[in-house]
Amino acid sequence: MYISEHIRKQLQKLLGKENVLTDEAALLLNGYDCSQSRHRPDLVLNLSSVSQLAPVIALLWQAKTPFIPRASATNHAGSCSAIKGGAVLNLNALNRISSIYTSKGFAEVEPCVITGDLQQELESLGFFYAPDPASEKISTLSGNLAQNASGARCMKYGNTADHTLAVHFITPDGKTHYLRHDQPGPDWLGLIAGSEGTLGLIEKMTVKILPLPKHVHTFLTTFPSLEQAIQTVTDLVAQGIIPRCIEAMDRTTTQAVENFSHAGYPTQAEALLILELDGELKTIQQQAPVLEKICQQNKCQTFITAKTEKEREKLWQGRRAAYSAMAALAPDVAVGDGTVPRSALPQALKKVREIIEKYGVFASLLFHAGDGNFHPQLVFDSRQPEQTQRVGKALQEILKTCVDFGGTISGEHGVGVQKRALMAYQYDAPTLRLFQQIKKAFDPANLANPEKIIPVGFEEKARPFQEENKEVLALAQEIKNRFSQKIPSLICGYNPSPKEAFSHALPTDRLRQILEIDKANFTATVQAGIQVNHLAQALEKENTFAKLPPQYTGSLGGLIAAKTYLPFINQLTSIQVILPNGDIVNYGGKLMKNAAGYNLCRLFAGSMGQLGLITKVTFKIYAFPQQAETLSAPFSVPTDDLFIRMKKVIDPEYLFISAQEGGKQ
Amino acid sequence: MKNKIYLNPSSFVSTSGKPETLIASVNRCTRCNACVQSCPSYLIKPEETASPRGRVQLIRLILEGKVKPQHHLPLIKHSLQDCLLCGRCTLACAGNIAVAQQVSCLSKAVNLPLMPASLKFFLHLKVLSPRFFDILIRFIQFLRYWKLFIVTGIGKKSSLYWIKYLHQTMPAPKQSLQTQLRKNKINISPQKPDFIYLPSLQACYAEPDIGQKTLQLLAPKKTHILFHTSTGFFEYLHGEHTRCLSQAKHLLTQWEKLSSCKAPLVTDSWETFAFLKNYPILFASLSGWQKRAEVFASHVRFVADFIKPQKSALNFKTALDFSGLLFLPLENISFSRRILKTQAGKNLLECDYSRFPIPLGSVLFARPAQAEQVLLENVKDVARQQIKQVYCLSGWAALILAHALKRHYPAAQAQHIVYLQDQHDRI
Repeated sequence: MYISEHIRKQLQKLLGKENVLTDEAALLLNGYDCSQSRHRPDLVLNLSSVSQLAPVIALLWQAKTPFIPRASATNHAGSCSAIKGGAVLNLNALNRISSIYTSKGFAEVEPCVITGDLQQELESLGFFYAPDPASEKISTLSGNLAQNASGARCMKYGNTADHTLAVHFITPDGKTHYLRHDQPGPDWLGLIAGSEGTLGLIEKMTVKILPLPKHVHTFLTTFPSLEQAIQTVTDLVAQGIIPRCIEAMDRTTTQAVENFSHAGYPTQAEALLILELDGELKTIQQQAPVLEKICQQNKCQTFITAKTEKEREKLWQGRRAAYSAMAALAPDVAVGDGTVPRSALPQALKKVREIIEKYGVFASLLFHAGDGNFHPQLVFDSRQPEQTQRVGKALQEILKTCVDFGGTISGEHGVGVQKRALMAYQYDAPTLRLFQQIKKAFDPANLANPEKIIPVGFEEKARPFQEENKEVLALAQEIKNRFSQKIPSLICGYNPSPKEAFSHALPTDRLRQILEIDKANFTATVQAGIQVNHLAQALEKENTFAKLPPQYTGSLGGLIAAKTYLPFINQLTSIQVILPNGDIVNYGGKLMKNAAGYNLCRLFAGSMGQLGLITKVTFKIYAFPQQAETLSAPFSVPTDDLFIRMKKVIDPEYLFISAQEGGKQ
Repeated sequence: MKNKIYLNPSSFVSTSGKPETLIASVNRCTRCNACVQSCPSYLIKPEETASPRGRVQLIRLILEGKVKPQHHLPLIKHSLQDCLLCGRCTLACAGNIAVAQQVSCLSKAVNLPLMPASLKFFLHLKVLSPRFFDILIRFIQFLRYWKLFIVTGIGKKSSLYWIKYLHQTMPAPKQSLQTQLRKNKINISPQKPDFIYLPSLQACYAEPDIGQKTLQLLAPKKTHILFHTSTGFFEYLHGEHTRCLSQAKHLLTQWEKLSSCKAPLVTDSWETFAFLKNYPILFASLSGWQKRAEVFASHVRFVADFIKPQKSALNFKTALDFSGLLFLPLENISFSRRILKTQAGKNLLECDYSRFPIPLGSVLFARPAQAEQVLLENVKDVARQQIKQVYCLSGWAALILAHALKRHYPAAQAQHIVYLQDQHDRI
């Protein structure tokens, strides 16, 4: 791509001559990351202060030059390679921790603070930042947010999006937006988490910090089969014990790791689990015997407890050396990342082993047993094209297996270029089209990290559309008819007044089924028209509980669309929506982690029924009652720039209208 | 037409003693970036071209023919000159890829000196004509004594950075080590020495006290010593491979001849020690020398080996700064650490390598221009932890750190590890 002399000069004026690199070698050196994808940019810009970001982006927008934000470039998906050329923005110098407020529980940081550095800084103050991706010593906070990384502690504490309170976000036109979870309108912050820089750039972040747990006990246990190991996890959750992490390895991996690091792991067991309990000593002392009992019920072979830092270190030594053990075996390691519902993990892993054997590659299998996320690490030599091809094929097949088991192609590593084609295997055409529309709303000129996430020519390749529920299909047909006749609709749940006041009301109260309460994965799938208090009662009958507001008589879909009860929004794992043109969109599954595509749950939460009609959701449930919080005051329909842009793209005819507008007619 | 630069893919590099070709070593890099946060130059200049991963990839691109070095010389020179050759990336790397050695291979190919030209001249002088070098140093000392040598102009040039420190840290000129010893009537007989002392440059000229202290540590036991022998280290540093090898051969033969392969070789410089320990790698391609070099290396000792640890002698916060250049044989660090741990007990702040972001000695030699920034970081670290005493494994490191501390954080001191003995004397 040609970048005019004029633009280059203006950039040089902004950043200084030495910070605008055009030397071929420098360009090639900024064209790779940890994956196999290599693409040469046309320009490298070294930014030295946060204030330079917005003007540079505005300038690139004017010049219609694509830009790729690049921090540590440690991702395994090719998320920061310059496929279309353009400018690579090297943000690594923006690495200052601006302030830490321990009393208020947050820290303000520049985008490229190394996660481990923040962790270290907080540790001396007696605090910690919960997400701990394995690469925390080298990856940056904004990079973690852009990929929505999570790490081992995710099971208890959640992922990066849950721990980011606010960001200053620059859209590709150079405008800065301040985004928070609790703003009126869609949860934009939740949406940009995992967007891989395709929607814009993070300028500043505010992250949540928590007091360090006073005590941590680590347990190492082995099982004769994978099924028993996973059953242990399910039993633990059923008992209300949520370990802060459950790391696991299969037999082949344990042997490879033991050969490399000599950590003293038992090598004969089929599955090895490392569990950690944290918090007050009293709670741990109550939980530890229960944990041991559950392990023994599931016929564990060994059970080792570590209470001191030294003992813990020894148990973790092998797990930490897992990547090194593989890297020492061959020149290249391809790290996969797939997630399946927890209950499907044993079958999925068995299938993965079969695939690995079929392609004749050596691989280790590490997994986060708590959330069904696993990482096959395939060793190979990239100088041998035949071997590289085999590894590529094996990885593809593994990820397809994940989707077949109701999972996703990426739990925490992102999609980038490497898994882009597989997005068509996971999602149907309407969903991918919606992804494209989201991208268009934020970035109409397709400049921010172009050609990522959304597959090329997906219309033919996409997964065939599947929905059998007659009521949903009928509703979709109705909306489609209205779309063709340009008749507006007002979505309403249990609020009777709009129905009478407005002739084109679109009631959702027919969608009131509870489709599934899955006690193995601790998720519930329900239709969104259900009344919340009815849902809570039904769950209670099954001895399960959700983070729902007490005595709420409105519909579940309404609760989500109005975003009045924030704790529930975090609990959503999948969503089905009918768009204003009648297309049915499906996102997510019974998954604790999903980094494939934009998080649609967060887009429709707070959309006030203006972007689509929520028909079905899956959310997390618990074995014990959850603490109730107060409902926040209802928002009116958002009028901010981002929302208007999104509305224009998704509903250009302005067919989904609000109650106020409905009342006027 | 620029001359074509050829980087030999089968150049020899080694990782923890295992020989490997350059191309094999480069190809082992998986670009995982684990090395980057350990690199001092990257921490100062967070750009891919100044990172170990970037350097390895640059060499890969050159070997693959995608980058023609002759067309990108300014960038390549920048990238290479930023490297401190400290080897911390190798420690951080899961595959222990020897980035520093790869960098020196490329430096040799592009004919880039690893040291500034004038320092190279001084050190050359030391090798070729030690007498003239001696005279020159004395001349500078003389000028300083009469306050004629003011560190402006030429002294401010980065290449003469070390002289600047020499000038500012030493109140009055000191006699060279040899004169001091002669005065104290210490026998420095070259005939059948009981051990061979290989003093560092600083022990010879800048801080003869280090040398004398070292000899005091050794002298009660051994009487016959030999010192002032060139080791080939500096020649190695500035890429003079042939001369380096000839010096190394000379030392090896001399040692064999004088002590019949028995006397231990002691040095007070961490870098020299590491270099001597790696003689077998240096001689790996020469048949017949390999075994002799191994025997030689097994006799090399660091001065810390002769320090007797005494319990709880240091009752204030203490730290160890281990400065390494090119190689980092860890057993030696742990030995020095053990001594300090015995003496300081709880007062020894965990001297994790990552806590001292930059090895000082190397900075001074390799990148004097960056020394100030780097030093400041170390000083901040010392101040933050309220350390009172920092022990260094190299004289240069102690010298410059002491100077920086004096200026910015006078509550702390930096000393060479040989001065640990002083603590004993005081008690």
